[in-house]
Amino acid sequence: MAPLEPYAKVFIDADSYAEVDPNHAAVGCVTCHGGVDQVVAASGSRDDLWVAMAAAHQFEVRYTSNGRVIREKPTVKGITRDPSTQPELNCNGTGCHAQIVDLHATSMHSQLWGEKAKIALRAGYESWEDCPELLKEGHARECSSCHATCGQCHVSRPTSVKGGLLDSHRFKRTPDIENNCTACHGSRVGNDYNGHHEGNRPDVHNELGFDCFFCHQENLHGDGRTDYTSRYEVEGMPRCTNCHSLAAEDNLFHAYHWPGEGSMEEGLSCTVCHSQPYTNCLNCHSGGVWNSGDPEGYSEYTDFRIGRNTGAISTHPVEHEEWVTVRHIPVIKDGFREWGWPSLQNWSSFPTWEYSSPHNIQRFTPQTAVALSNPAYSMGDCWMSCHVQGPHEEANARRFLWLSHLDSLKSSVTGLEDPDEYVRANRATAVDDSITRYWNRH
Amino acid sequence: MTTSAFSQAWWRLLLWGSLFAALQQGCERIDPITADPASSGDAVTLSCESCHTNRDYLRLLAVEEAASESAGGG
Repeated sequence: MAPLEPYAKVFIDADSYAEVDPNHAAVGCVTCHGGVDQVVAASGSRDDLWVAMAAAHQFEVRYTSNGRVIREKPTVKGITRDPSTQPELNCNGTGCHAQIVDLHATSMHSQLWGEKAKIALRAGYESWEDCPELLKEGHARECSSCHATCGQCHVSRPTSVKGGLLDSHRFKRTPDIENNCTACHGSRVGNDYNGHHEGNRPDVHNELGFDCFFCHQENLHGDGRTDYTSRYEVEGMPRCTNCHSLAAEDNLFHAYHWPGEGSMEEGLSCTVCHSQPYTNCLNCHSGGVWNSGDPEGYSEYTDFRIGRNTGAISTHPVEHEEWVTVRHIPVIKDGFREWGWPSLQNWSSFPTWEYSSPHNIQRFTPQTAVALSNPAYSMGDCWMSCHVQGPHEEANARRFLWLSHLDSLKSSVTGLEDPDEYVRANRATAVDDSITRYWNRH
Repeated sequence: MTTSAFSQAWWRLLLWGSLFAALQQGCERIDPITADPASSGDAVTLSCESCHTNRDYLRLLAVEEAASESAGGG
């Protein structure tokens, strides 16, 4: 997303802040941000205003040799841009938001528990607690540093998109979808949900006008748990069946493929049939490599792959989903070398194709185009759009994750001494050894 | 060229030069906060609010950052 103009990031569009938010205005700017509220500018010239701003923001003014003010972004200021980086002081100073501040300290948004757990395991440690400081510091510096403070959801855009007030510093109870949620969750969720990939439609729930919170009713401020190994473990995470509970026997396809007791076959996740191609990531974006365009480095691409739910720690805890959509995630063996950690010893113990929840659901997708009304197909040919058989075998095969696909990708994955390690890491997710005979009538 | 003609040309050059210099100086002083009392040259007391609710002040003081786009990571 394009950053706001510098002035717009801090502009309050009112005669006074009290008009915007009387409760927080009563607290006063300097109570949270520090600095000096009343300063004197010698005149209205730009230089004098700059000197006054330096007094208010408490930074040192630098001058040219002929005495002109140098306007530059100060490296050290006496004010705090985002007071909610210290929520216990600034959001709960007088007990205002005690419970939320307390929970947020251990929340998934604040701590990224799933990512930490996975880094620990790939680095060869049982838990994040056991990891050396080198990894913790690198993570804090590069991964946690821009992660959701109170203010980055309720007052401004997040730091990852260079900040900027949402609405004249009004504290918004509900974060803004575009400026907050998908400002961070943009590459995958945002692009999928808004239908930004060529050939895709927006998610049907988006077309119906549902915002993130229609489905995401889990407590986003956390629940006090600190032992999460995956975001999918969070209690109350959305399930399709929360709304679509009566769909199991809607049609023949559901009767065959619905996960769970009574299914006629091993279960599919809903997204196997109802999602469109989605964002995948290759290699790693740590070390400052972020959309660098370097073909040897981090890149994003659109793909759709059905793989096996391995049941490993990184996968969805929902039972009976044997076949799921899988996404290539951005982690490589030497991805943290910039942190001083040259290699993830246990990297290949977990797949880099992981269970995914594409946010681009449609009732009808290429997988559901079974053309029952086409006289060329009979009812018994309902598998035509997905199974690896018949006249569309080749096209249908491209929807699955095969060992041959892993083999074709291995040379693009950087940081491996032995490229076959990539294939070994993902072998269990590939479908070759387990695709059912009903789907594969060679 | 006669002495009189030379003198006239000299005065024209001086007049236009002075006018140009005055304009340049004036523009720097009044732009873009002409309407604000602070531009009068008198000292002015400023609060956080008086700057952050004043689009012209903020534009005047803003330091450009390197523009870049991000789609966010998750």
